[in-house]
Amino acid sequence: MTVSANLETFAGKHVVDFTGAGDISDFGVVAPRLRCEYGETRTLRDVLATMLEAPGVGSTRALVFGLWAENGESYEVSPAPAVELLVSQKDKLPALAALFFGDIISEENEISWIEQGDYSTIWNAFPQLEQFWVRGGNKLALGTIRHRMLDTLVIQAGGLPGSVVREALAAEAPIRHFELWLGTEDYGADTSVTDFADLFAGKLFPGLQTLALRNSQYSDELATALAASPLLDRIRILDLSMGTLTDAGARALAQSGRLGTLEKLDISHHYVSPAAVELLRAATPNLIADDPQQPDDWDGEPHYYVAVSE
Amino acid sequence: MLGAASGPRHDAFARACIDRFGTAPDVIGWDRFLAEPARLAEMLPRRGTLRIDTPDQDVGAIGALLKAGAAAADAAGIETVPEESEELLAQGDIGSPGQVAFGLIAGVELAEAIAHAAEPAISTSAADVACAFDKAQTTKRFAEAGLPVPRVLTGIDGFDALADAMARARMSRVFVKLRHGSAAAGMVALARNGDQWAAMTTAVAVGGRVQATRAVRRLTDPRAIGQLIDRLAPLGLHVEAWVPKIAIAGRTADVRIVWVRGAGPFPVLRTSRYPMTNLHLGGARHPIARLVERIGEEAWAEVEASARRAAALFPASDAIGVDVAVLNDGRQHRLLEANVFGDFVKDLNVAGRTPYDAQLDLVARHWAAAASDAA
Repeated sequence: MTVSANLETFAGKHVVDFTGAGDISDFGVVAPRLRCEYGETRTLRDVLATMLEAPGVGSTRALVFGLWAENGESYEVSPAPAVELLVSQKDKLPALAALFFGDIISEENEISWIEQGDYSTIWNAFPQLEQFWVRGGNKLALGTIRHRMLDTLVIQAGGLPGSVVREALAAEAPIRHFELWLGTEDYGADTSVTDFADLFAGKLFPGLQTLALRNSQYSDELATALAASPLLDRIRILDLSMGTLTDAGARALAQSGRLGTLEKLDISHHYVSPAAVELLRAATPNLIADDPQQPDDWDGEPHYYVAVSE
Repeated sequence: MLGAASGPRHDAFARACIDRFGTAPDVIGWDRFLAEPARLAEMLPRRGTLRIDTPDQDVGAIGALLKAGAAAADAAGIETVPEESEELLAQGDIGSPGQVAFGLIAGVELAEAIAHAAEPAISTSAADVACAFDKAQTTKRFAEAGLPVPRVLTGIDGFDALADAMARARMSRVFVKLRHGSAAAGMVALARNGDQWAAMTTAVAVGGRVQATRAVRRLTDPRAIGQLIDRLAPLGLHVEAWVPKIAIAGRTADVRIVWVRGAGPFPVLRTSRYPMTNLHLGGARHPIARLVERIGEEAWAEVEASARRAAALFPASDAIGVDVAVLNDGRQHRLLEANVFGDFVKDLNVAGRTPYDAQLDLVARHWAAAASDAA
């Protein structure tokens, strides 16, 4: 499976493509999306520069960056020039509260090929930022996040490097929604459940409400560790969807006695048997268990695949 | 009707005729017609109507068309299938779509000549078939009419030439299609990222031949991809930019719009998990309202206008299916293909009327006019 659909809304606002003056009359009520087309010559930085000159741009609250490409390809094309311009012109976007870098779909690029950049300059430039979303793990760096407002951090990848996971976990920010698409080793994922020891011990993000560790090859280990974790007692939403959860992880969660306060437990795209799904449902009525999968037995061994990798 | 003597297409049209006129059409299969063309003249009443349709999945009819198209395909440099290839085709071999197309063109020409004396209304022409069955010609005709099409790479005779052309044209994502192919047969959605490649396809090279599978496979080994493209190339390739299609309900979408002279449009929205939206690959059909709601009436009106103009480029055809990609910005669109036999779409109706109903209106009108002339 791949990500086939572009965003229709972001941060509660309707996403509207901005290609030139006149596309958007009120920047405050929509989420402008800036992006390249393979057939055209404008870079992402060019499109941003155009938007920054548009009248009324200062009221922009949510901003989406889509495909970046140059000379008909995205290979070795970095979002860095656009990030640099965004940071250097930060005063033109004083209301910016939500950023998405990489609203790129499978019809535009493989998620595993998206070339990302270094976002470490964003945090100081936009002290009022509340949401930061990014798709693609290659060359992705977040730097040191010290931020007074950031409450939503979402990193979507087919394979997320441990360096990024550690930067995200080290964020000093009032995080309420923490979401990682961990992905597979084939595409650069090199984390394990031990990377989340401090998080699960309850040492990080005291205001955390939504924990989403999605698209993981070790969903069972995550579920088992979470079942023994005090963190489960204080979050409202646990999302282990798009991953490889089997009966082992499902049973550990069901038997934890800690699901009672969850407003939502999402395990969709899972490998859990109907009997174990029912055990989970008995432990929490707020279970979402759509899209059950069957392991692939191509060499006599069961293989479990995450939802999004390529 | 000249087409398949049995099968889903035959049955669907026959059913529509029975519902409308209380009687099924006289049918001659392609194999019978090509063996005994004079039969058609005997079947046709003076100033009657002749519907021409594809051989559908009728292996005997396809075999006859392959035979009829062999010389022309050979002359055009398209690989032909061995004689007596019915068994191969029955096993999923994609055969030579170009050879079938040349057989159809020759067959329709022959039907036109045989039928001429009876002055029937014929549902299409050899000229329309020749263009619509050739994606390169169709795209050229669209472009010359000022209609939006994807960029095309020409002169591709193998993977090396393809890689070169992609680099020169600065085109990193392409659809490699069989020039005369239909549905997703032999189609490859191909992307390059530096020296990495990824291909999505239903085509698989087995023992020197190409088979169509019902599963979409993903290839990333450049050697395997190169071998597949090299194997497809002798069948005749059409290569165009892979334009990013819009998604509806989380799935990649495109549109088939069927026009029937003055009636229509009959649009249907097709969605898929894959870059190709064909129904047999697990694609789904939806009411067009889903798309119109998303892109707005204005953008949809532009899509319709383009498709209407595209259909008019096939003036001899009663029905024409135009495939359109709406781009992921929801504003632009590109015309992909035209299909003179594109009216067979399950459950396609507008306010309860199907493209067959609209064509049977034409038949009824033709008969009425012929009768009043005779009187």
